Amino acid sequence: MSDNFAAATTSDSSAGDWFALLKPRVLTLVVFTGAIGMLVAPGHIHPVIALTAILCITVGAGAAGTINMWYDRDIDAIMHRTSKRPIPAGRIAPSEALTFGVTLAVGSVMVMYLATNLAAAAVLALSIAFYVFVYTMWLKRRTPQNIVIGGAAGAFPPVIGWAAVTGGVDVMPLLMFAAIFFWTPPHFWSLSLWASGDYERAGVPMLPVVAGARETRRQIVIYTLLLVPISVLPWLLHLTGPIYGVSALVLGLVFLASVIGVAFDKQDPTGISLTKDKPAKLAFKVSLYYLFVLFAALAVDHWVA
Amino acid sequence: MDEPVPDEVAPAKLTPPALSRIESAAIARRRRGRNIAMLIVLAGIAVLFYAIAMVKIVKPDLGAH
Repeated sequence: MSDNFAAATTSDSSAGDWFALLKPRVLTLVVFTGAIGMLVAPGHIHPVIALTAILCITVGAGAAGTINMWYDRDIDAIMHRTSKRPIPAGRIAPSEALTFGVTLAVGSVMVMYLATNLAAAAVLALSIAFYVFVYTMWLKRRTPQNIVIGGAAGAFPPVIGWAAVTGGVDVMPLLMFAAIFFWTPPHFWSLSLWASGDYERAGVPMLPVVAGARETRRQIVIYTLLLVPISVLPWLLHLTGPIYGVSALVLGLVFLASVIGVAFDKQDPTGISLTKDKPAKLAFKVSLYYLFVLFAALAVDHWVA
Repeated sequence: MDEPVPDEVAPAKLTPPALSRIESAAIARRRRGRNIAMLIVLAGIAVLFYAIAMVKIVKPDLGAH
């Protein structure tokens, strides 16, 4: 990969630039789902150990984001949304960012092992490796299904949280994993319907760029149709109570209604929206609330039970 | 063989560009910010390791498996 960013020096960067490398906005979801995974797991854990585990999950995800920014610095410079990130903007040298990311990744896994157990540390290491090697380096630039398989990386936090408490993995954390896994494509593709121009310029084969808007809308509906029953499964398997079950069902139907709105959006013969993708923007917002409320319902259900 | 570099050119290539007072102040401000952030992180790590050690010693049953 040719490098036009190597001239940056540490003196150009602020503490905020280093923090930005961690992709703090993405970390909100990671912290939340990781904490819920820990909360609903059977067993007790000391609050200090619990906070340490959440910190390790957060730092590990931030490390993966940092290495992703290091690898993607060439396309980040092309895309308008990412061109002001610290590396393409020349405020942090790529080698420094990579060193920072690898140090955080190794450190977070080691501390997780020392504070909790081998299983949690191993799943954390797997999630970082998956995001860096499978999503960033292998899939992202090669296939329009990048977000489907790559989305698994974002689904690990509740599994790590559960493993930190129990020392293993069970059906429930795998169902939480599956819920995030099947939620990611409709969430991300709703966004990409109106923000795919950047990816097209950078040559990243996102689904709307490769298969068109019409096929993307179809895939959004398919994945949401898979998501709804999967999200209700914990209730059907008697792993949760009715608070979660009813919440999952209602939330799923609301999300499904919003993506059906996307599928029936007014469009020209090529599939381009005639409403400036209003339904897709709404579905994107609904998807955000959906996951947060779904996991909150899981916590409330566990607390009430 | 490379041509010899004239004496009056070589030092100019090696000298970094002079910074204005505003640029120097901005660099100093950013460095101070980084130093403070590093201090907070290192202090946090020290406290964290102390707390983990205490929990493992005092309440090993509540430390994770």
